[in-house]
Amino acid sequence: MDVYKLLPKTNCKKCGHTCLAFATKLILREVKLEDCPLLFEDKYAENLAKLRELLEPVMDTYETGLKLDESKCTGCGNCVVVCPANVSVDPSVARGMGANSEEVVFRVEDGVAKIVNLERCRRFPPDRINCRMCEQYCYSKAIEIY
Amino acid sequence: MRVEAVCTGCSLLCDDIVVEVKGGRVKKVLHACAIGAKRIESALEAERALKPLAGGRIVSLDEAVKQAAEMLREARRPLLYGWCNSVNEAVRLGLELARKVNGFFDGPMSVCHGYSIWYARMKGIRPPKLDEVLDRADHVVYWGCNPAESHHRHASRFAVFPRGEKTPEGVESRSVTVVDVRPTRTMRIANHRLIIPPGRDAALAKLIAGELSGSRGKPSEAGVAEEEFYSFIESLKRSTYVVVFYGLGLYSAGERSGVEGLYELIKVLESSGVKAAAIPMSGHYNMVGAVEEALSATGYPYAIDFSGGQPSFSQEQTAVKLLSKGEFDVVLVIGSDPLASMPRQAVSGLKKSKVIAVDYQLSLTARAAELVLPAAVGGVESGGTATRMDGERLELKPFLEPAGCSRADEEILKMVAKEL
Repeated sequence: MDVYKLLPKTNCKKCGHTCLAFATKLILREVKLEDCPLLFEDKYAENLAKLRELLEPVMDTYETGLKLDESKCTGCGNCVVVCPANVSVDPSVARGMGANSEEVVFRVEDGVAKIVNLERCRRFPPDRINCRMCEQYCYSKAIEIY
Repeated sequence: MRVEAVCTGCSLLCDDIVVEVKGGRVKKVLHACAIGAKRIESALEAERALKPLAGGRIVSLDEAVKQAAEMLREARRPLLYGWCNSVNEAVRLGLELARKVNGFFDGPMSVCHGYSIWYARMKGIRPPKLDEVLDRADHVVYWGCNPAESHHRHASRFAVFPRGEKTPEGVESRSVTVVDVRPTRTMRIANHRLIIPPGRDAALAKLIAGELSGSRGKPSEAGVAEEEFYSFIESLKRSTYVVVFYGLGLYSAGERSGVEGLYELIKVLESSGVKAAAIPMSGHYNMVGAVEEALSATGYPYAIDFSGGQPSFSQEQTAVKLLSKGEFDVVLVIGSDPLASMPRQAVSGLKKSKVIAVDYQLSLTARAAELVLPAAVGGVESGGTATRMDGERLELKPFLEPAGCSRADEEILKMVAKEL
């Protein structure tokens, strides 16, 4: 509701949604503030600043929830194969093979795991599942979830 | 250009590697672990042996080959050492060469998993293929080994995490047990962690076998914590297919009772209606191949003495022991670095002999050698077949041209044999 109150509340649907739906989607990170053109008009400048302030911790939590320290990684690939999101986009990963799809969350390159698509992680909206498989099975504690 | 490759970083021989090559250089390596990626990188390193060297002086390949042949021909007692980092075809040529010069054929397998591989073959035990482990094993035991540090992809590529036919949930369809003398990184993925004092492996195997056949022993006899032990036994009794991957930890102080005890336990498991198998975690990429080639050519696994014309073998007379006595005057070392890895007395013996090093890198041994014959990096610059830890033969897929004057091991051995 706090987010909704700061929106223009005109239901102009220029973003494709009503303002209430837009507020919900903002929290779920399915839309960005930039999707609402009205917010960038001068009269909403103060509201926009407040919205940014309000949403920052939410954004930050999700963005930094998963951390991979490449200097600790040995490229074992446990994260690649155990990650359910990886398996769903690249079925050969389910058989222990390296991930060749560009759509995966993790892939091992030059001997270390890399995060290719963080937004595919199940911890992100819309799933928002408290999945910690990669962290749990990392041999070297290179992966940490905050 | 993207090419497929088989990794020769360890005996897992991961065959899903993708390498991006541009203008004869490696741009990116996909899916290989740190060990595998490093091996591919090493082909392009400054420490690379690129030119034949005689007494530290650059010579032509022909000259070096002639000198190698001469050294071997005139040797009173030559040792041909290595073979675990060479393809099967090169090992076969090495055995022929050893026969030709009445030499002694051995390598790291005699102080590593050679005995395990041989023991299983003697007993007629064929290990299951890793793909079968992937599909069916619902209890994986890592005993005296630490794949998190040595075979990085073992759990993710085959044994623990993949979803198989009878293991549809991957890691959640399996139990994982680690037996070791201290907490290890591999224990981070384990359900059961059994920590025992060094040298108690045979006692633990006996204790487990006893539990399965109804005779209760005391966990303290094997020095294992009671609670952890019984929760492991409960889990073991619920399992349908148990595969034990074992490491050199089972050879405490050179004792073989650990390995023999483990195979006894496998028998007991089988007789209690559980499918069970054991696979040694050999390190070098073709240790299994080297032992199998030696067995098929001579009937002996390693430490084969051709000095009497006919091959002979004694388990107690390994290269390390004979080098310690200063027995060899000429040593051909192929794909191994004994100066860096052997015990002090053996190193003293090696230093007294003339060394011919066939290697892709200027190792400690190559630097001290009389003669260096630069080799191509197996799996990267040269092909052939190698044998995975489970006995599966794989064709390597080289993707770079051999650098400098380097040649495949086979080619070098053929040239030397021809010169003889």
